[in-house]
Amino acid sequence: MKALIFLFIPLVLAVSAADFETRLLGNGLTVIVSPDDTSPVVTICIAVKTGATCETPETNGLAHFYEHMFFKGNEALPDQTAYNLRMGELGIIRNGTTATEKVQYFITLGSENFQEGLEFMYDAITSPLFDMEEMEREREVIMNEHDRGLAHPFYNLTLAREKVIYADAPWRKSPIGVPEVIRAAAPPAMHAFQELYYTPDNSALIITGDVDYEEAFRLSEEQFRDWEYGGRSNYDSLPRLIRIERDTTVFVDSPSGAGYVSVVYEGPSISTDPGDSYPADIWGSYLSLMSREFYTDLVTNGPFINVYGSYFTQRFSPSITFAGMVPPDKAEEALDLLLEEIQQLQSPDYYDEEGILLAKEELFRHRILAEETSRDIAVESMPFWWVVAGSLDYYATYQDSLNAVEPEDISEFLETWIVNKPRAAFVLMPLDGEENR
Amino acid sequence: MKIICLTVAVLLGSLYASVPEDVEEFTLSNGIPVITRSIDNNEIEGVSFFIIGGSSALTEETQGLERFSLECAMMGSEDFPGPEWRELMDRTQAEWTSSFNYDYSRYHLRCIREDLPILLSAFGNSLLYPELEENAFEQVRTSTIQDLQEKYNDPDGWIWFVANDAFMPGHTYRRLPDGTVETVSRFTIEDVSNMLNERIRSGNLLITHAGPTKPEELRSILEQAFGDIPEGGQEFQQVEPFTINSDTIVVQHREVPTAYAVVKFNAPPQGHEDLLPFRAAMTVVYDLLWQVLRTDYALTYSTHSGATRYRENWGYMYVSSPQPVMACSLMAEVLAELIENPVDEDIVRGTIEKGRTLENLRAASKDNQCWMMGNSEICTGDWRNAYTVFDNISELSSADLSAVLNRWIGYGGWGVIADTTVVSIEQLQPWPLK
Repeated sequence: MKALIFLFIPLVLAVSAADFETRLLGNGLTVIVSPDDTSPVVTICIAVKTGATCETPETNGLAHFYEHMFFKGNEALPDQTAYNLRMGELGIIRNGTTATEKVQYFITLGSENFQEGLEFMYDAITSPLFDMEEMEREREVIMNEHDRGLAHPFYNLTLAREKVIYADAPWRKSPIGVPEVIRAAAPPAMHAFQELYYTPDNSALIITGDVDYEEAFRLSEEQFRDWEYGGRSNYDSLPRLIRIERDTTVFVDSPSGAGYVSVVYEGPSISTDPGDSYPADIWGSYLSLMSREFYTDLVTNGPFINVYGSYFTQRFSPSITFAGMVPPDKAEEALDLLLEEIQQLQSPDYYDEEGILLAKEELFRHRILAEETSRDIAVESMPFWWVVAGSLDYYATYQDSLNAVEPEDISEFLETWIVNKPRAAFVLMPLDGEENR
Repeated sequence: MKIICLTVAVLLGSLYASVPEDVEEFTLSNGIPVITRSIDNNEIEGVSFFIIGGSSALTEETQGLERFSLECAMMGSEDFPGPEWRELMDRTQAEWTSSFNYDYSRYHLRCIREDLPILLSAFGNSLLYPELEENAFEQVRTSTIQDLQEKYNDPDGWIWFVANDAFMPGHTYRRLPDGTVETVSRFTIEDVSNMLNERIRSGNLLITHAGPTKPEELRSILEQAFGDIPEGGQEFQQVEPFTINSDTIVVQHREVPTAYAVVKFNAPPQGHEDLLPFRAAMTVVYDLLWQVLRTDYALTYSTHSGATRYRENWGYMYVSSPQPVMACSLMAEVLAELIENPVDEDIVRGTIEKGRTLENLRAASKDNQCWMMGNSEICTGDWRNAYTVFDNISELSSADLSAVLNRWIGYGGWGVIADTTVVSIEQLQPWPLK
């Protein structure tokens, strides 16, 4: 099987966002529907603009605690037993996640039970009981979740990053929260969170799968129109969080022996600098190309086991990160090499035109692969973009915006965000009994 | 920050109303069997390449060699040397995932339809004519060792292997497909070359596909990519049953803030009529563990149970808890209670309904389809079994589930990782399961 001809693969694949329609209900609830009849299931997701970023030191961990209480009793299903029974009747698979800038709850069930699924979610979002006894039990569960995190090999690194990069309010990057708050959480605090954030004007209802537009919108309106408008959320006016004022290098002890090196810069916020986010994505995608210098210098011919450079799209804590696993005994050498590489990549000559096209192509293909199933769309894509970007316009026009990016835009992005800008470096390695330094 | 609920149904196993009609089988000219399912809802293709054997193809000294060899092969080949290989991966953004278990190794390709021919050609070329360049070889070794150390350092993942020490000492499945730091440190390029030469034989292989490419076109693509693979292969003995003959516990001390525990116990082997009811029963156990350990007693963030789908199987229960003695004791009680007293029929029906949802969800994922068909073909002898489970268990009663657990569950092999300066070692005794 020799003499295989290297086939040319056309660049810039045509791809669009998943088909969807959006409507705004009278109470401010955004309803997004994306039909797909591949399989007879429907996924219903409620995304809420809240998360650790909305917390204070006194409430750090409550957004996550709330998530745990969401799938407990409510006015329609008064206790856990009734709740579990109903999930079995409807064949519901459910989950919830609390991130820094977003909380979401989602269920998947047979499409024949779609209407009942909407009702199930409505009851959960509008009338949680926050029973004190349930909360007492659940706080032990959350403490166990907290303690599991302490054993993670990267726990020390995460703490160090929070303190250095998010020094103004590190709690806003820590969804799990702190034991004191978890231990003290009580129903009034849950209700306060509900009042502020769990309102239709601060949430989106996302429906994907085996449904049609009209039925989905009609049933959503029937079910959710009585959810009372709030207008109290402060989410959109929260301050930027990430702040790196001077070059810093922190060596972090790695009890597990793992080695990891990262260098972080501030990045553009999607709410204040959305235009910079497109060249940022293409630039990050370029650095992931295994055929280009960044990878070959650092992995193929360098000490890194893997490496990436990327921009993380966020509102309040957008970051540009270069990072990778390294053998622990080569961690310091790896940091030096990475910093040297970062110097080089600030020059426009570092990038070739074909590579930039490849980088765009990568982003397009990535989107296709990331949205294989209707559940992927309901759980991974749409909630993220709706919350972080503020609407799905960004998501819908993403490909066109990427196509419009020129090499000069990437140079401008580098000038604005990396060249001569302060960075924070972190080296995770065994320090043999020393404190972090 | 996920509440681990999705796994409820993952543990149930395959439920599906009936065998799909859009599946075809054919054989390549060198005898490699192919099973393909046409799914054209989008442009995503999935192809799984199975190498049959798993632990049976390894010795104590070669643990991890098959995985290591395949990873080395994926660094470049004669026609696609390292730089060209990386360029191709950049162009296609192909996703390769690999898994290495007790019965087989599996490489799965996920890509856009138009990239399928070139990617499979490159893959075939790398299996037959790997470059095995020295630097790349050492790079794979470094990364593999790092990965193994990470696995060891993560108590949540390593607990499963601690339980193996209690449940299956000396068994074929004790040979680790991922290898150990010691074995991987010793492998040479010659070892890799010999392993690929021995294992990449048509008689050891199975290919499954799910995606928009039609069978005739697929046959041609696969023939070009894998048609040169030589015939032959290995015959593997039936894997021996597990022979645990007393309740056993292995405790590993670590300074962890929460303890981890797993118990494994006998389950029906593939092909046995009790396997599907047993698996369904273990999913009901999952719901009960969640209710009792998490909801009622708040002892844990994570607990679950299930039964494996290898050629020889075991049931298992898992928990992480700061109070492992109480949590393990309750876990054993939940199982014993279900064996003695069937639960409400509604709970069984609910478990089955959730499993049905999960299976329908899986139907849209090409990766899942490829895995389901391949796993069933290798472990049960017929891919169709992946789709008929629901037909076979939907009428089961709660009493049936208790009865099947009673027939199979005997002694348990417990593994515990705990800080024994906090948890008294004397209290960590194996908890009888019935």
